[in-house]
Amino acid sequence: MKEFVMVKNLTKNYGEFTAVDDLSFEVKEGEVFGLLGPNGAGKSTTLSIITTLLSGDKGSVFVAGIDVMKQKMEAKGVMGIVPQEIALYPHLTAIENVKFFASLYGLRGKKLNDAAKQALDFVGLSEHQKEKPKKMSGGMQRRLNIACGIAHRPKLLVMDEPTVGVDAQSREHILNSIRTLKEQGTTIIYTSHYLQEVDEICDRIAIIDHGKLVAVGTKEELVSLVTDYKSFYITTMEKVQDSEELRKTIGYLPGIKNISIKEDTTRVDINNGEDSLAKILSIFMKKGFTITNVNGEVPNFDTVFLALTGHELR
Amino acid sequence: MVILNELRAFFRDRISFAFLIAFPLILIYLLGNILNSLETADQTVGTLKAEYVIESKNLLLTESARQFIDTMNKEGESFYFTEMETEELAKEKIKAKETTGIVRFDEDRVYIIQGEDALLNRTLLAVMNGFIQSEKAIQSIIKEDPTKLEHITTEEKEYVEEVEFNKNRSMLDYYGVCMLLMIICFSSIQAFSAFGDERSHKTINRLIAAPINRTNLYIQKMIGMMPSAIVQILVIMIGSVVLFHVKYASNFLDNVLLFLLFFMTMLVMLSGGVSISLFVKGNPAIVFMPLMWLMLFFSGIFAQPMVEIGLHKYMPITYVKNAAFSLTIFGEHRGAFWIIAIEAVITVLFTVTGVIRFNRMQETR
Repeated sequence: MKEFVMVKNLTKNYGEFTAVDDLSFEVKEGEVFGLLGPNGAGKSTTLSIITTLLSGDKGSVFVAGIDVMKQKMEAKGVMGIVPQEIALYPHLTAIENVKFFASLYGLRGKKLNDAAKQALDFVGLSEHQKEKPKKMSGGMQRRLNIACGIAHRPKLLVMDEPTVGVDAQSREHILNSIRTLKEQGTTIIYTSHYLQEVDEICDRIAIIDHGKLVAVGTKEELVSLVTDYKSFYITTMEKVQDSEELRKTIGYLPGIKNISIKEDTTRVDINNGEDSLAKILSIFMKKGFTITNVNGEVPNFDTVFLALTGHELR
Repeated sequence: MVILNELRAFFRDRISFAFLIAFPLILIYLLGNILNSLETADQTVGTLKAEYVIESKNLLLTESARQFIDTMNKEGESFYFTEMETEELAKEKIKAKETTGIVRFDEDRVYIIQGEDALLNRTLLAVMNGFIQSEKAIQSIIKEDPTKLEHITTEEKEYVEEVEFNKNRSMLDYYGVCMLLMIICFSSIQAFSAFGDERSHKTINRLIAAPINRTNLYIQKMIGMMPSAIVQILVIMIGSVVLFHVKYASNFLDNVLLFLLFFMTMLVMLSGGVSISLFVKGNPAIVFMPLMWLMLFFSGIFAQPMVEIGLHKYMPITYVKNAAFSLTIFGEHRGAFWIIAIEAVITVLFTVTGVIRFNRMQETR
């Protein structure tokens, strides 16, 4: 996949305060790229510069090969935004809202009508197209907010915390919509406070703190930055006797860091890159244990974030 | 679409619709009628019924009094003088509220006993004052050269009623113009919210992130507000004429010019309001509306006596009001043309300032 968005040495100052500090990353075409960071980390400022809402002080941003700083109009044409706040006109119905925002991107007549209907259908609001936003639930308003950003079929969709304050059902609907958009080839930049969401839908993630890029990569790559082993929990039907012999037999295998035995559960930490689990299971079976369950534990994203930034996602 | 959106925003908002159209019509009616009854004492006297008693033995006064009253009774439909034998009987009629007052011709003096209606009392006083003055003139002629009286013709004099002179105005007509100016000033509320609402609805960022020329967008928003401005002026002008018979200018072309004067004033308010709303982050109406009220108040829009305080000449709206009255009452166009020209320049300046500001605008959080 080629790079669709390229951010190079981007810097934005507000007086003495540096909101974005020499930030560089790329977003590949067709991927869902997560931008993660605590409040005030510089995520929204970065998104605002990418979407031309703000001007950067230094550096450059290219979207689909277009210099966002110099060719604003062209860049705007390929993007869609879903802002963090619900940005809708209360006096317009759902379909009128979608049509209004899509019309700003040059859609007219039948194309506009079809695009608006498809967008509403996409977010599951076809039956509510004549309702005004104030009569909708928070979740429905969020979905309408998304419909307004996607009706013109942007190549790049920038979503700033689109699931804030929504119920589980709407949240699931929104995440599924994002997956479908990805399948359709839309490149998505996504920010969220919910690590689980980022974990679920993002192909790659950039962690930003104090305006600087802390790390970027797939979830596995990020995890490997903070931990060099995985933990496995082997549950047996019988109680395992903690013996020196068993510890030694397993301990001789490559990459074994630590073994702890507690009744029917044995925890083994194995270095990344080593594949000793199968051999351990074979040893257990040879010794007559009936294995009922094997669980692998990857350090969760909170741990990764904490390790990389020194604080929890606030 | 931006123009259509502005129209929808105005006509779907029942509160602003009611405030900017229905409210001024009601005000014209209420203020016009309430103040009409207070301030048109010299216009609607109605019928004056008075009793008179002649106790004078002065033949000249007695004869001229009788002739005067006979003429009044014959000529007018508004005056009815009835002779009573005694003053006491006449007073009974006052008590019974059957008469305006009593006129007693006593020797060489005329006494007036007033009833309860101040307006009719004043009218009776004026009528009898006229009689006394003419009586004095005749007495004077008789003393100087009685032969002159022989040459006085007794032919009836006619007068021409100048219906078309257009000065016969009521308070309804005054408030027709004033309430229109008031609502034009308040149209700046609509203008203040042009970008204020975009900010509060968080739609402003979507607008500026869209691939649409911002100057174009700004102009479209301005144009989008114009139809509602035209509708407001027309509804209030036509509504007040049809419903309350308010009189504006005396001919169609002058009324068109009056409409243009109002429309240009509204454009100043709209362009100024939109422009200011881009410079002020909060709602500018909080600061500007009290100032607007003060300007309207001291210019005499709400109450003519405020003009006496003398601040009206410092209030810009006074000049628009005066131009409108010159046009409606005297058919003078010059003031209206000047005001329209000045307002056109101000509108352009406000718009250019707003466009520059909007083009430089970045994300609003």
